[in-house]
Amino acid sequence: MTDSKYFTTTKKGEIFELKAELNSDKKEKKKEAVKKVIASMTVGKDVSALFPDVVNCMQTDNLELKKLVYLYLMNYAKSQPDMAIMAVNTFVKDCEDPNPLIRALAVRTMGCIRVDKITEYLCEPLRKCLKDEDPYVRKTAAVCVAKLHDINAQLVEDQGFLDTLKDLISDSNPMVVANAVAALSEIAESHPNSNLLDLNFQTINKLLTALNECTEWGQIFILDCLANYSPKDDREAQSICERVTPRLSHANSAVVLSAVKVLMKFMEMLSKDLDYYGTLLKKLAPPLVTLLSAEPELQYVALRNINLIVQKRPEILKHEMKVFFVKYNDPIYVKLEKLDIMIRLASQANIAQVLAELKEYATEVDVDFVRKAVRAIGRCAIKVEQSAERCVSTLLDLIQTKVNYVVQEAIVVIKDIFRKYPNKYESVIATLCENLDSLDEPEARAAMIWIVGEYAERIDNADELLESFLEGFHDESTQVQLQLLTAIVKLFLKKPTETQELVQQVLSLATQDSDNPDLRDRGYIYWRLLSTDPVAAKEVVLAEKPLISEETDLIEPTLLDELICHIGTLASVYHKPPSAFVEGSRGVQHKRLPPRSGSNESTESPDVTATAAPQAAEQQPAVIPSQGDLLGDLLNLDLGPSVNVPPIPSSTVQMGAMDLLGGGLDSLMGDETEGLGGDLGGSPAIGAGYGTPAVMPASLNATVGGGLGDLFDLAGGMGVPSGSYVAPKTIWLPAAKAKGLEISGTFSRRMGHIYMDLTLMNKAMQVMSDFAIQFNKNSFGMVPAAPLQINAPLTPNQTIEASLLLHTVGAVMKMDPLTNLQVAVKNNIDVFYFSCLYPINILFLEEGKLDRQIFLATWKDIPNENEVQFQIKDCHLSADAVTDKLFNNNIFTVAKRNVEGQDMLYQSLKLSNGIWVLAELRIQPGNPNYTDLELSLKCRAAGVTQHVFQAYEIMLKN
Amino acid sequence: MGQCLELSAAVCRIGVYSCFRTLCCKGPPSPRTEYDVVCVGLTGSGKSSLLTQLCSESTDSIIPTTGFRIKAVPFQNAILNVKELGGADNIRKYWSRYYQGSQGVAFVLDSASSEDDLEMARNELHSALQHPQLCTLPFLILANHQDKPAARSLQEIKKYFELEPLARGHRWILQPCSVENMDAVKEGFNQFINLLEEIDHENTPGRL
Repeated sequence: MTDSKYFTTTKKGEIFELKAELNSDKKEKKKEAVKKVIASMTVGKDVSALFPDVVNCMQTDNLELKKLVYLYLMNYAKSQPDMAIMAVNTFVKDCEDPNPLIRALAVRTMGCIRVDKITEYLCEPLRKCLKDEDPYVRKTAAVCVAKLHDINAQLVEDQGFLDTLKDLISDSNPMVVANAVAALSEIAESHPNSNLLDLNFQTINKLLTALNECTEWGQIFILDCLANYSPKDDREAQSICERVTPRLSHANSAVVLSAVKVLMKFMEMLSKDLDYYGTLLKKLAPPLVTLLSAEPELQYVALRNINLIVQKRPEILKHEMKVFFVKYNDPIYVKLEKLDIMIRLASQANIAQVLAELKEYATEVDVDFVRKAVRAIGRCAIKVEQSAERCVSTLLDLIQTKVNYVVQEAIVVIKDIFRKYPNKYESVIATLCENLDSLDEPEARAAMIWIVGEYAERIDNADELLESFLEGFHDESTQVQLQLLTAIVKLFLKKPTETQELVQQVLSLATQDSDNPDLRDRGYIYWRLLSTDPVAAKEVVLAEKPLISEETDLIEPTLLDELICHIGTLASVYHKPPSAFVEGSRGVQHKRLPPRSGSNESTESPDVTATAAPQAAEQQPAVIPSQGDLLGDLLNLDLGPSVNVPPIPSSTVQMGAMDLLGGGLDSLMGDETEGLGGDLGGSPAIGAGYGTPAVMPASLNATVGGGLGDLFDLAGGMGVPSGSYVAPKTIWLPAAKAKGLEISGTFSRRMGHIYMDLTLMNKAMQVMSDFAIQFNKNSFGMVPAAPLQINAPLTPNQTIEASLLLHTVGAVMKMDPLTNLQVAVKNNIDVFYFSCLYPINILFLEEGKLDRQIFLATWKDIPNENEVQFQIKDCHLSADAVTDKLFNNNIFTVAKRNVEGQDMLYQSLKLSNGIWVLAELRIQPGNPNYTDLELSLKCRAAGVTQHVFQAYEIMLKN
Repeated sequence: MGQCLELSAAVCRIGVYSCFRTLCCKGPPSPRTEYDVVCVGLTGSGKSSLLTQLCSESTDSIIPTTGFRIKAVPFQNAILNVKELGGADNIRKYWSRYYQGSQGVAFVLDSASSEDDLEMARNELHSALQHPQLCTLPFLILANHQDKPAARSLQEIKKYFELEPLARGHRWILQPCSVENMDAVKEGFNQFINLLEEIDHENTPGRL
């Protein structure tokens, strides 16, 4: 007996039973059956097979049954889009039912059925419901319009639903108004230019009237909509504010926040001299304070919003400092947020109170909170000048406690205080030095080292202190290493005589023994500076530092304004604009503004502006702009005849420095070609070095430029990993067509060979083996170079990756389309056929570069009829980037020319069957309005140009 | 004493009422029999119009049925629960899923339609009648639109639809009708109901 007996079963299963029950004549039994179906649906069983039977029960007088069927429909209409049409007539009927509950139910369900095929049938019933006599039906229909718009915007516009919706704003029932506003706002959001909600004085008036009468959610919709309105003048703004103000005392915090948003926005328009402005300020404070008596989660949301409000208008809450004092039982996230607001509210008037509180917090048990409290003291000192002295003494008190993390945090903030008030509190340095040994965190160590370096002339044993750090140089974090390097160079410049050995040591540690490119580059810069012109070095390294700003973590004003507009939404809690997290992928950087002083990127360190770097790294076409010019442009340096400036200037060298450093530098910078370029070029981390020249004094340009020239040249040669574009794998053979074998794959060209990269997946229940592959004759004679190597049998649910080497020596037959490839795959079960398209660029040969002269001759030789022009839309690449991308795909730039601000690239490529394709590519760099590339292709075989164009497009856009 | 009197009066009234009921009406009237009938036919053949008129409702706002409609149509002897299925192309393919539970089939055709449509109607009728769930049921064919000039005669239709060979073993009625002539429609349905009742009586002893 065969195993097929396992597949024939006498059991009909649950679905079968349900089907029978659904078709029963007894109404009770039917209802029971539908309930069972819904139960199965909610636990995740697939009961979509019962669709016609459930829909069959739809026309019933029983409201309960009807609701159940509707529930089923919402869930499964999408999976049975064709059959959903069977439900249409019932909706049409139900929308005319005498019972408004049924009408509303029908229209709500219609909106939830997101099946494009039946939307047009639902327009008439929807139109009727929008004009229904019952407000409950109208408000449901309003929301349905928004849902329908999401599925088919054009349809909604054509049917005139938007106008009906606008009319509903003037409806007599406030709930209908609120829902119409909500629907319109949602539609307007997805179509920013639609000008849907062109609110005017009358509509605003209606909204304000409805505001007082509708439910809390309706109020939120209306308030959010009001916030998008811009009043004509301050008078109108004031009258709206007056009518919105009562919402501030609503019990729902979302209503309160939405009202606050409206008021915050419209306050912009009010003059500060106005009496009303002051009144409004006073009115805003109590509701915000009230929000803080809710449960912690709500408090947190409120605090995040208050944080924005305080930054925008500190005057609102300036007298309410006390409510932000931390309670012992607050959760940590509330504590930290409150602390943040306390600092923002700190002023001369309340600083004593704040400091007392902060000192208290610094002795609590929660480490994170204590750290933040100590930091807060430092920030108070920087913010309120009068309190600086008191803050410093508080910090000193805290250091005396010798609690490790308190001390470390205190040292970090004292460094900031030194930056803000130079030469004022240096007396505390001695105390700080006592705690040197207990510092184990990088930030604290870095801060301490900065202090020692900065005040080296006042610390007698500065060299000893720094030397002690130097011992474990390689074990330190980068931050500390960089700081140590800078501090020792400062020390050397201040006390050159005693510290030569130390500086030499640190420079060699940084440049020769370190793998960190930042550190090494900074080391080289100092080394070169010191050896070339120590006076300049002194000017650079010991330059006067700009004062640090008062508040380093203020939100940037434009962002703040945007966030104020989003009060009461997730954006105001994240402190990010909605675009940053709603659509997902955009780069998020906010809140942290310029780096704080003294931490690892202090102002005296090389400011790495790497904007020129990517271009420098690109492949240079060996044509018209000479290399020197290019570099000159890139670096904004006037190199000119740079090469013969002596590498070692000998004037004003401070005694000793030259002797010490000269030798090293000599070998380092050497004779232009070897030296720096060679050295750096060979190292793996070459990319990080580009930006450095920006901070070099002009006198150094020449020498450095020479070295850098080499460096960039080298970088160009090796910087970009070569590799052609490979499309993602697509499914060529679906499992359903091949008895469970699924094949997906793509083509690639690697190291001059063509590969077919396959993924085989066994979705059947049996083992697959004995795979073989064969191609039909095709346009370029592609055949497998070796049999398909799949050694182990493929067990069920297993996936195997295989790469098949192809060559182009097979029989040729022109296919349509040209790049069509028909493939047969055999396994132990059967033979399967599929066809796929290969990208033509896998056929581009490595030897496809033409000589310029030959290119010109060939171009003229090919008749003009064979020239085809294409446009590549929206390509934002520069000529160099284009060259580089195409080079990786074996399209070679023969020449480059600049004509009237346009870059013309002349390119050649050779197909595997020896056909040459010549291209002229016109790029308009720097013209943001014109981002299209124009591509002219010339080829003797005209059929390939279309495919070559597609290859261009794919490469340039990926 | 007074209470006692009232109570006995009430008991008397109940007694008299039940006597009256047993004598005159033999309990509440027994409900008319209900039959489930499926009604099919191409778009425009007039299914909705006929059924609506049978219920004496206004036919002004009739639009093509998208999906299906269940309508209880009252006749003298019985009530027909007619499940009318839309006749559009995209709905016809689901007809067979709504056959289950029917006791009879009503097929409406447009006697005045083009050859192509008639051909299509014939195919639909044949496949409906050969469907396992319908093949044993009685059916009523309404040749609608007889009032139009292009309408074919009953004989022509019978021949074209190959009704004689097809209907072998079936109980069936072919009834010419038009929207204007509702009596013919009612006549057809009454005959149909008789057929249904007959079958019902035949089957009842078997069922028991």
